[in-house]
Amino acid sequence: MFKDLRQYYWKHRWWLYVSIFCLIVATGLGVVYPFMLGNLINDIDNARFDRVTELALIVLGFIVAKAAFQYGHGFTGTRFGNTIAYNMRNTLYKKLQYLSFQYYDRAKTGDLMSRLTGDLDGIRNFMAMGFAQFLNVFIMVGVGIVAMSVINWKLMLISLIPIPFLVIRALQFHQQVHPAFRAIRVSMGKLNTAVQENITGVRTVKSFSREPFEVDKFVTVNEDYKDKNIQASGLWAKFFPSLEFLANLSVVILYLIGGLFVIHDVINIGELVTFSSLIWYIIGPMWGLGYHINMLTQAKASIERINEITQHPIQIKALPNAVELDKKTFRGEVEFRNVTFHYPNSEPALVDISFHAKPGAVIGILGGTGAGKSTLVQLLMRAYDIKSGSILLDGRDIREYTPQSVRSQIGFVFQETFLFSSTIRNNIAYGNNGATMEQIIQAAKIACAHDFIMELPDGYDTIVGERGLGLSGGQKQRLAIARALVCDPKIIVFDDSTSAVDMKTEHAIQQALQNAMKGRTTFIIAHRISSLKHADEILVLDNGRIVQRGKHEELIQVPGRYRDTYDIQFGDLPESIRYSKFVRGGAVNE
Amino acid sequence: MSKQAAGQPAKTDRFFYQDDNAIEKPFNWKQMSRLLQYVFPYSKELLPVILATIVGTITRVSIPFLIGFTIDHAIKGKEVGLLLALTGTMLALYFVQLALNSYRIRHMNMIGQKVIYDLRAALFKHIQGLSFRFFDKRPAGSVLVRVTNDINSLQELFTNGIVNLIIDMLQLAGIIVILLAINLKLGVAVMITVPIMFVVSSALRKRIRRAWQDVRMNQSRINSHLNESIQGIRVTQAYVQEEENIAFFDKMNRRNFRSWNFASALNQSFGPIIEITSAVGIMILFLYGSASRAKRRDDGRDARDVRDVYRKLLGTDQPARSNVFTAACCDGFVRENIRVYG
Repeated sequence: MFKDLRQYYWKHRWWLYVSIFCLIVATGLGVVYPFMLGNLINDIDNARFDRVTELALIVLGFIVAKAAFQYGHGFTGTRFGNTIAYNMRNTLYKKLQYLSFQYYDRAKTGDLMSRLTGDLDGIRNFMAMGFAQFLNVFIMVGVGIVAMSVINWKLMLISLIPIPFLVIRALQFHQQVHPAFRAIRVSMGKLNTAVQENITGVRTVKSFSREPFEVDKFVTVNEDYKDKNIQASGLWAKFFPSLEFLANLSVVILYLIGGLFVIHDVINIGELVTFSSLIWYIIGPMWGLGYHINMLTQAKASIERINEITQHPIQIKALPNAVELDKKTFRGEVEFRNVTFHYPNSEPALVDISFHAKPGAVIGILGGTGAGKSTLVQLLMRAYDIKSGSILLDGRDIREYTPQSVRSQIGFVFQETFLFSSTIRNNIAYGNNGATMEQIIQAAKIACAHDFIMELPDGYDTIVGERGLGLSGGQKQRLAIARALVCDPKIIVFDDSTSAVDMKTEHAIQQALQNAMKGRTTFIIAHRISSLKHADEILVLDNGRIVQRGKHEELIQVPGRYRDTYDIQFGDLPESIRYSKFVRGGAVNE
Repeated sequence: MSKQAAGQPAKTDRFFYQDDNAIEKPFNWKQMSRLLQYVFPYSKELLPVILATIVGTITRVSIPFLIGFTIDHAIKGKEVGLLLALTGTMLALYFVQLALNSYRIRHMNMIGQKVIYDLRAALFKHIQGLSFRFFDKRPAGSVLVRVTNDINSLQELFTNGIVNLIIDMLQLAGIIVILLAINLKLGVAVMITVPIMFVVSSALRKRIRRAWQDVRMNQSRINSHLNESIQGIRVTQAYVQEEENIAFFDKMNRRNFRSWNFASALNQSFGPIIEITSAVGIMILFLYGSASRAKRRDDGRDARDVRDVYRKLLGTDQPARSNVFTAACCDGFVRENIRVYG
């Protein structure tokens, strides 16, 4: 367990050492001052008043010193714990930034968050105080045993007979409570996921009046968390009292056997009294043993969950001899050669895909839901590694470049627009932090976003809420296009960027797209023929395969999926005009 | 504290999360009692638990007396039969404790978890009914933090907190009665420290509460950012912004680290300060005892009483301290939730 944590605390281990040292001194002072108080009482009893004031001040001094060391223990211990939590959280965040798409396809945001918050705090608590206190139990027991055996080792051995049983019981507890804590943490992750998904999707929930359904769904996870906690508390009820009982048994044995020893003059009464005050230094910490084990086990369960993230392999990595894709020389030529890809444990998403896009070419992609359109374009930025075949950029395999340099050359406009809680300016410049205000405005103008931005109260400094709240779907999409443009990429990808918007907005986005495509190799995924008709090549996908390919004018001449779609969208035109190559879909649209 | 203070987030930062307004209202018992309303439905189940706690505390407190009696009569008097009987009684009392503790832990946790369940369910239901405006203003992560982390921080209060409070109150009441019964004047002299302790602790508690509020706010920001950065990870990776985000997060994390350090450092001062104050109380006890003995006003009765009082006081002040501390940390969180819920 501590090996796993080493990287987070090793540089700061001195905090821990000082904390342990302070705790030992404080405990030591705590042992000494009752004896001094005893002296004080004797002095008062024996009427030696001259020394009383002096002694009282010394005792006070001891208590102040003890309090100071106690504080020292707490201060350095919590600093140690906080440092570990800080380092750990940074490490986790860093890892999350680099984990691949494949990981996020399965991961739940809420669960990940609970690992970075709740689990982290469990570890923080244990490392801050629990660890030093756990160690202190052993130190106190050790010191107590030595001191007791000085007085009478036989009595020490007899009265500590229950302790080995207590240790066994404690180990049993540790073993049984571990899975219980693991279950609690997993349940917390689920609860977090449920709430996170609910709040993120709260608009949908409310629009469709799904609140009662959501409340019912929440009952299940809430109940599960409660049950898992009650299960764990059943173990506490089983073990805590029995651990305490075994420790107390030592006291009973001590007075029984010790009493007999005194009666038979083996030891004198004074020795028994001293002995009995010493035994509390063993019994006291033993009472708390269950609690300490509890904290330790809780931390262990949390460390396991954190290790699941830190030890997860990063699938997409630069090969050892990978080169940077040079922005200056890259022409934007893309070729797929017999590309086959499937997601883990599922049917192939793409089969034998081949096409060639010359620099500046426009490739249109059409197909139904689940046909593999998004997968195809995501392979371009090496979101996943393919099973067989190859993807070539400027004639060289994509895996020979560093993934980051490839991605820098691609402006990706996602199907679902995601904006961050930041200003519009920062959102547009997200991929190019060094962009000047002129470049940002320029990109916004090309994306037909400048006008509506200027109408906002703070213009480019307007804060858009999480996920772009406060903006319409079309506005968000145009910002996403501007974000892609500001990077001045050689390749630009529009993943169904015009779905779910009204005609007027669509027209604005269409225009933005036309502007954006100039001089860039472009991939457009669309449902609307009007977005695809200018493409140099249109690929029609079905079930992961290319079923039709060609230009708009060619495809509408032959029966097939493309023409079916075209008929549905332009069905109100007379047939003679519909299939004439002089008709421009865009003109009809207007 | 001004929002523009050094180290505070600004709108021009890479990401900006709207904070909830800090609550300036002091803690009040009305809010606390609203929270306790969630316990009322379980008062029937709670009653036997409280009874078990009281009986358990009595058996625990009676054992030192039993030990004293054993030493004075059975051992000093060399009566083996009595020794056997007394140690047998001790064993029996420990058995009773074993059973009572087991019962108390099991049932108190059940009640506590049910209360937490109800509270969480009520909060969730309430959130479902809030307006779009509520969600527009707040990052999802900051709402999430209330339903999960904040409620979790109340868990301790409802499972162990209530029971510990009862035990402490009982012990405190017991100590006061014993003190006054042994020696009225002495008792009053010792209790002088109680108001001092109260003043010191309430001033400190206020600062500790603010410090934890600050921690909570930072936690809320971190949650908001984590939620967003995980949801938007594909955009981040597509635009190769991993390193920039890591740098931003480090700043955020560091701010949180500092607020934790500050709050922990304050928190840790609580125990030692109370300990010193109580030590002053004990010193008053001794000086008073020796002074009255010196004057031979009552041939050492006070001095003997000092010894008795001391023995009864020592070792019982520990839990009381930790409970005040728990209450102090909790109430920042408590209030946050009440505010949303109310």
